[in-house]
Amino acid sequence: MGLLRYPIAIFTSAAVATICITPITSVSNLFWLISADMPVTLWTWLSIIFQDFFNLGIPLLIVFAIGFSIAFAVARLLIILFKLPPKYMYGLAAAIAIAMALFLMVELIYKTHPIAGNRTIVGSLFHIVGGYIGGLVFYKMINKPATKALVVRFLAFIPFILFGSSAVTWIFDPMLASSSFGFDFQSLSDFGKNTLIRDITAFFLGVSIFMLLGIISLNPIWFFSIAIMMGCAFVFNLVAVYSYGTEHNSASVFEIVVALWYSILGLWIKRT
Amino acid sequence: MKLRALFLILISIQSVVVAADYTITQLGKRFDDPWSLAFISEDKFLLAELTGELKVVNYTTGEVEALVSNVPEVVYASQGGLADVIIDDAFAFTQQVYMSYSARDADQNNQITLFVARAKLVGNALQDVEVIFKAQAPRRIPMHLGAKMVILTDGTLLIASGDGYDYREDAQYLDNHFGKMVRINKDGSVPEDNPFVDDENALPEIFSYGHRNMQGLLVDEDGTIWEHEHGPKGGDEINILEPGLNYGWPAICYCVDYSGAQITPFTEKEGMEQPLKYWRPSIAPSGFMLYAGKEFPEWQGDLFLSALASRDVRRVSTDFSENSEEVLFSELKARVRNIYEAPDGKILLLLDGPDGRIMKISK
Repeated sequence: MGLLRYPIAIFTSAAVATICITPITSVSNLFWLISADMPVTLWTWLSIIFQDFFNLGIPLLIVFAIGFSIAFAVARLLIILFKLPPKYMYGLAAAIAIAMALFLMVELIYKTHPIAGNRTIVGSLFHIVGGYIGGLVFYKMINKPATKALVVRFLAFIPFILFGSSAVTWIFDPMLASSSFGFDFQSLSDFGKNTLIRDITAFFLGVSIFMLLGIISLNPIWFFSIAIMMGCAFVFNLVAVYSYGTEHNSASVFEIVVALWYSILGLWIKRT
Repeated sequence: MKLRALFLILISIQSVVVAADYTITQLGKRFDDPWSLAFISEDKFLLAELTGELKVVNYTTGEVEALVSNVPEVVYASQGGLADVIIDDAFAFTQQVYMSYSARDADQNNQITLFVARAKLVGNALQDVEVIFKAQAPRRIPMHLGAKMVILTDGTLLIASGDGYDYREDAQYLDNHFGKMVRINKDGSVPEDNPFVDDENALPEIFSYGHRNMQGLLVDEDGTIWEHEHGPKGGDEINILEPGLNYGWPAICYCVDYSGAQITPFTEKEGMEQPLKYWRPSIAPSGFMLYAGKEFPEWQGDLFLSALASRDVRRVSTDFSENSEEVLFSELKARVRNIYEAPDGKILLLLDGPDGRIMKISK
């Protein structure tokens, strides 16, 4: 359990950096939309910030987690070798990792700025500050032992990112969400659109809420509820394939894995 | 019951792909980033390669007959290079050709921008090469140049100047050429009837604005200007261009950014034009053709869009009715960079890449 605190701390620090950084792009876009006299409302703010948290945030989280792994390993080495203050070294390491990630994204890979909030010097500085905060979180977390509760929460949180992302996209942009599920939204009748938005949003939002409640309360009943929902999705995926002739799809693998994942987590909590 | 209903919905939205009766043959060998072509006679065309080479190609054999000399120097990088070549509507008399390309501009801090030059094609050489337009849209990397051109029915030249990717917001401001359609006379002067010619805060060459990366531009027999442009993730669109209008980018769009971030949640606003058709997810349209040939009479009057991301060609009827879109040539499994109608009505596809090919579609 002791060693688990490192990957958990890296993931959490990357998540905190992501939470600090994604709104830079969202807010810069919102400010421009306001300046262009677009009817920006509270709903617009929520829509953009929540969608960016998941849609921009997930790829960033992966990039940052990889960058932080390297940066923290190097920082640890320097701390041991030169007896440097760990708190600030981890912050600095994470800030440098973000700066490097942004720089390499532009100069080595895309030749342009894939992250809109990074197009100005001020925006870049905010990104680096976000990285520094992530580094401080890492320092705090590695100085605490990893408890079973922390590990369960961490493991339960990973699928939540994907489900939360889907839920938010279905709430704020059902047209986009439906296209990734094979629907041509425009061609549906009004009733069809209504059904699609209502039922599928309810599914993803419901499962996401179960996940959050499980993560917060550590009550296994929430994890079993998720397992039942995803187990049913898996069964009816097979029904669709074998009884109604639809094509095989990779979603069935995802459904059974998530069902088993939360069953195991629920049983693990129940044993204590 | 619900599953059955869901299944029925899925069945009903399947796009119908009708196999047409056609033959695909390769014309010539390999070409290096073939980007555009222009027929200079019944059996010869000029082929512009993004690398900066302009070739005279025999239409019958596909052989390169000559390398055109005195082509302007281009910056070949990213999406930049020698992008479009068109001939004058009176080419037989004037031998005039127009080329759009990316190059560095000493007047704009030596940054890269879109250039348009005209020249006389004499033999296999360009003579009297003259830059007639430089976009006031300097950028570090040649991205989103647009760079398509068409001669309008009144003899003026319409040029697509893309948003430069990193400068998307500038598409809404009239003091630059990012995300603008530009209309000039063939000598580079500004037509007096351009829509913003009397606006002292606007560049006089601007014809329309609020565009992203325009990759398709054509004029039909009625003089209607058809344009298509790339969205990022979603938001590829077909428009009819009118002078002075705002086409909305990036304030309205049926899209999100490549990164997944929202660019705008808005899809419409008064004073901003709606597309006639849009794609979500993107197909990444490249070339644009309005078919009028005799080889495929059933396709006459239809729009054809070559596409990069979907690796096919889309045939779209101009009434944009439901089920008006047909997917063609997907069996090539290639990014299609451009599409042209040859003088004999056959269709030419330019397949993308440093190992690009030209495919001829015939009955």
